[in-house]
Amino acid sequence: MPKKISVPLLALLLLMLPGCGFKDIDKRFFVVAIGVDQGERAPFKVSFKLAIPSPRTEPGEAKYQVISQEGSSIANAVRLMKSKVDKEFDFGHTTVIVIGKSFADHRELGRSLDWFFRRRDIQEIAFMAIGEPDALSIIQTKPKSERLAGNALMLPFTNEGTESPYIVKTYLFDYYRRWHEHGRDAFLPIVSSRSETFVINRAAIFSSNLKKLELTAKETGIFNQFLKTRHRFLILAALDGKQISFNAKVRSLRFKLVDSANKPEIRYRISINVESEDTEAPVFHQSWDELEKTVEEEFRNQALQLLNRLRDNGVDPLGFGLRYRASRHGGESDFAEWQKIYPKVTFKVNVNAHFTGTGIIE
Amino acid sequence: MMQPSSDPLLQSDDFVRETLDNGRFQIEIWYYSTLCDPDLIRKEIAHPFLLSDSPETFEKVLCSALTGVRITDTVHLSEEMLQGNTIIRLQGADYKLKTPKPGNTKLMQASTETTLQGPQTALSEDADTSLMLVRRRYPQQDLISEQMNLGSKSRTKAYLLYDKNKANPRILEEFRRKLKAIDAEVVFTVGQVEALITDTQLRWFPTMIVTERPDRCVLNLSQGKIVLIVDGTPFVLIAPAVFQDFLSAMDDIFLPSLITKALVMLRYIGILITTTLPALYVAVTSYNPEVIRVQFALSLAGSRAAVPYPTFFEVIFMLFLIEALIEASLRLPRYIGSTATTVGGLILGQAAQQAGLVSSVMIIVTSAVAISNFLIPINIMSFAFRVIKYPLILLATLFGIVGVVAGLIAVCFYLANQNSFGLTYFRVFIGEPAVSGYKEGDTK
Amino acid sequence: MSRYFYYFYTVGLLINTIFFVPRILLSERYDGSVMAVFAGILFGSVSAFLFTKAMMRFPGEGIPEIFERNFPKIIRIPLLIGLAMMWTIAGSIILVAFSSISIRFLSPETNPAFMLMFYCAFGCYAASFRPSTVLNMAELIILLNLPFVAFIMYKLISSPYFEWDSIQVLADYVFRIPSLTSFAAATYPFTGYISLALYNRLYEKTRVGHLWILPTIGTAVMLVSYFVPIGLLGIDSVDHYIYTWITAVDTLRMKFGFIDRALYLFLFMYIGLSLIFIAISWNVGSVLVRDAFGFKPVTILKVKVPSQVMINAGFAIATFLFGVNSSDKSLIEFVSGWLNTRLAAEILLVIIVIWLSRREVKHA
Repeated sequence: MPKKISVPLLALLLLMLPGCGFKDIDKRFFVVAIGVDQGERAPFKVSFKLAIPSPRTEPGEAKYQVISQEGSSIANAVRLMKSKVDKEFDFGHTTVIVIGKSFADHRELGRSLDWFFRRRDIQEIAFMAIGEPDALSIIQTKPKSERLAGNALMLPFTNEGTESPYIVKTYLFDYYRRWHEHGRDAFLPIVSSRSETFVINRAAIFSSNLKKLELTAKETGIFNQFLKTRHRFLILAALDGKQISFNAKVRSLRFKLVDSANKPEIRYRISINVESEDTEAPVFHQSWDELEKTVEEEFRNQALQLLNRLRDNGVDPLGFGLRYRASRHGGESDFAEWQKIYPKVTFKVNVNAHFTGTGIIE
Repeated sequence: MMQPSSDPLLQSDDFVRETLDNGRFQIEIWYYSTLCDPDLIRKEIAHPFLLSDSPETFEKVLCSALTGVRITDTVHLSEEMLQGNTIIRLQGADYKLKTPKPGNTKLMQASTETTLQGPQTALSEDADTSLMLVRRRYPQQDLISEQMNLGSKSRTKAYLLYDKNKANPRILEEFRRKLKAIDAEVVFTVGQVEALITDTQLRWFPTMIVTERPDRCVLNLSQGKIVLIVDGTPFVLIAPAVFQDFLSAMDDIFLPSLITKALVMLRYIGILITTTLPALYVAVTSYNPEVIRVQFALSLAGSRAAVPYPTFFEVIFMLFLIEALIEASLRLPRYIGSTATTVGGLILGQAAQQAGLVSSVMIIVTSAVAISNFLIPINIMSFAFRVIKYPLILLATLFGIVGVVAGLIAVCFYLANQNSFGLTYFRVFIGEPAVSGYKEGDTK
Repeated sequence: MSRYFYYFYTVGLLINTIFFVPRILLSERYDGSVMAVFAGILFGSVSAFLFTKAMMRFPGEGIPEIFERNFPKIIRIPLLIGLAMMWTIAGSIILVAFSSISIRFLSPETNPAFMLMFYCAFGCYAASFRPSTVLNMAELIILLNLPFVAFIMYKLISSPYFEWDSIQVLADYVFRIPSLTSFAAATYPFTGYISLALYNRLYEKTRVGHLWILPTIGTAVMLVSYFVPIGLLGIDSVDHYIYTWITAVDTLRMKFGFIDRALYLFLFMYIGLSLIFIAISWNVGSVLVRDAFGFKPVTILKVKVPSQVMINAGFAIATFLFGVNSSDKSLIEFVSGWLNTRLAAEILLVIIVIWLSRREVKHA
């Protein structure tokens, strides 16, 4: 019986062969990064960084091609770009989406980036960033050490490579939910290019898809500590006129909304572990309590400065509004209420530092 | 009884018909000189005959000898002689005496199924010697051996061995019935017996173990399985067998249990690699390069850049070469075999890659496939697994990864639907008694 | 052997909490679906419990035999066919849905009809085996996949992007009356216990024990299925996604995994789970149809074809035709409608079986 059936079945399968979506890896162009800029003649200027595969990969030998195209929409620009290359675009490995600074400054980012949210082959875990001065120049930057095209731009975000406290990261899905969720605002890292390398140390904060605020590098470092994706960071404090650098790690960070009718408060409780890393005077025999106090004071000040700045600019990337919605039981009216409260909020930050050691010398 | 010229017996030059006379009476002896041991005939027949003073005394001597029997049924005389018997005609009565020439009883090293520190000898090509080897290791009176002759022409001697207390009577009965129903002229190997007693025509996975190891026989006997020894081959057939049995090596018994577990796991991983890796290669390179990391995707694309043909040609080409190599090294004399492997494996692979016929990743895939295939301890099983990868490659070509996974599951369905003498062939918890506590998935 | 019962139950839970159910529930998250989830868990567990207890009064018997003793042909056949259709449609929906997911996420260039045909052919092949084969395969696939699925779930919940605040927002909306559709959707994942209607035949000697497992896994899987997408995709945007769970899993990057996007690992697991679910549901469906009419093997071209194969081929063709003509939109609309019908049918079946088991006890 199987013989009788299998012969026509096999024939049928072979007939289908041309109908299948077979496309070899070497006939695809991997788009490793996409840049979106303000076009000169059309609203969008889309740039692709296309990785050129080579059998041997060596540092600095990353081969790539950058193409850009203006178009009335992203999809339109991509269609037009297809005629510029010999292989099929593959967005499966698109890990970084760079948005030009001027685009981010002047346009809303939600609907205009709809293409990215809608495409099934753009991964939800692509990183979004703002490029300075524009997306194209970020995409074109070629760091010396880069082994594979796009790696140098991607690795800082994935934490597989460097782990810097100044790099905030935003996944595509994270941006989308922050855009839609009432009570939490989106933020994006800012990447700027310095001839042969990138600097990623600032962040921009958005509210309803419009850029509202740009944080300095120092603020970004503190801001990162308020996110769950934080890394070790550095606190510079002075004790008796001597500067001490503390390597700090946040152990826990919690906040509570306390709203008495006219004095709404957000209370932070932060505990950090610190270790002295670089001191101008030996610290081992000093009172560790005092060291801890100094650090606490310093960190509290920086945190308060940041929180107040966020509040004064009317942005809420840390999700206070969402917490308000979660902890109050007014249903749909919660958020409107919160919007009235937020400008009046005062912050209280309670830092508890634990000094763990002075390194391997006193 | 025998007509001089027409009887086929007399046409054989090795057929001996002698009349002995000791001065008092005469006997006639018939035998095949090539099948019988002349020393034995001399010792057991000629010598007592010389000393006997009357036919009655000789008859007594004859019948008191170990295997002397008077036969009444003269029709099967020639058959008796072909079994190595000598026929003695004394005063019109026929007697037979077993005088077989010893066969190839030399014990050989186990060669197809070796262990590191286990018993090193294999079973013998001589059925009796094999039986001896098994009995020595399993000295139980419950170990029953039933002799039978297989094949209408070859009448190959075979022993059905089982432990009376442990073997499942239903399976035993079924096995006997199937053996009796064998309808073939000649039977020489156990593999052939297996084919003859399996109902379905399309056989893919072995449902009985073929082994040359006496220790495996004994282990399986003690687990209530049935062993068939066939004369002329050092291999025996063990039934019933389930999938897990084919993945157990005899080393598993004497190695520490953790190592055994790890080794068994290694074999399963080996199976997975040998069956799916080529198909996954096709699926990943041609449908879903986004599955793997971007770094790997790029080097894969780079290594394939020089290859002008679609991946499935590349895969089929390389796999054909490796299969040909394996077959060639099997058939070639041992000394040339290693040369062939070197030439094929090292030089061809390297050259094929440089010629832009295959990618370097494909070379790795091919060698991984070939090597992990050899992890399977029982040969027939590893052959069975060599076949699976081709349908999977076809499915991968048509449907990508979905095809590979679905194809693998389809194969598992097929396996799970098999049975060996009523035992479910393939399932996770096998629930069989394990004497040495070695078996994977044993829950007790 | 009673572990097999739980495999089916688990497959049903794992499959249905991924495909349509979360989407239907999440679209009504502000309109009472939280309550629906809890009510569904309660209802599902209780009816699973009652049904299992009732079936245990008929050791070694499936529904066809039980009905044969109690009902005349005119009632029996429509009931059995209805039950069979319930199963078959459950499988077919998953088949069509997963085929479209495969097209979208795994091989976008493949012709959808071709892919659908492949799935249908597989379903026909796998569902035509003996129930015991399907049982063993279910065990294999569950045991292979469950650790990975559990791992992914764990990684999702422990992800730094998982936001408990988003989930807590729902606290305001718990006490709202759910719609019938969302209630029906919330009870659906539990439906795996109905497989006992047929596979009870195989549990002649053993009884289904450890019934506490039913609500335990049920609750865990339902809660994860409902709340994890909210925590990851945001309370206000979770209903924007068509393939809610697939997108939710795509939010996970496995830094040290061989495959760095958890989505693909998840999809591979779910190819297996979907296929086994299709095999089980069509297997039950085809055996029920066969036993309802007492079909005998058919001889085609001198080859004896078991009637089960013919029935499954029928299912496959019907599913193919249905699948080719459906879209993402029409499918979810069909499912919403179908879920309500199914809830009614399931309640009816449970009541009949309980009633019959009571009668059995009285007679005995």
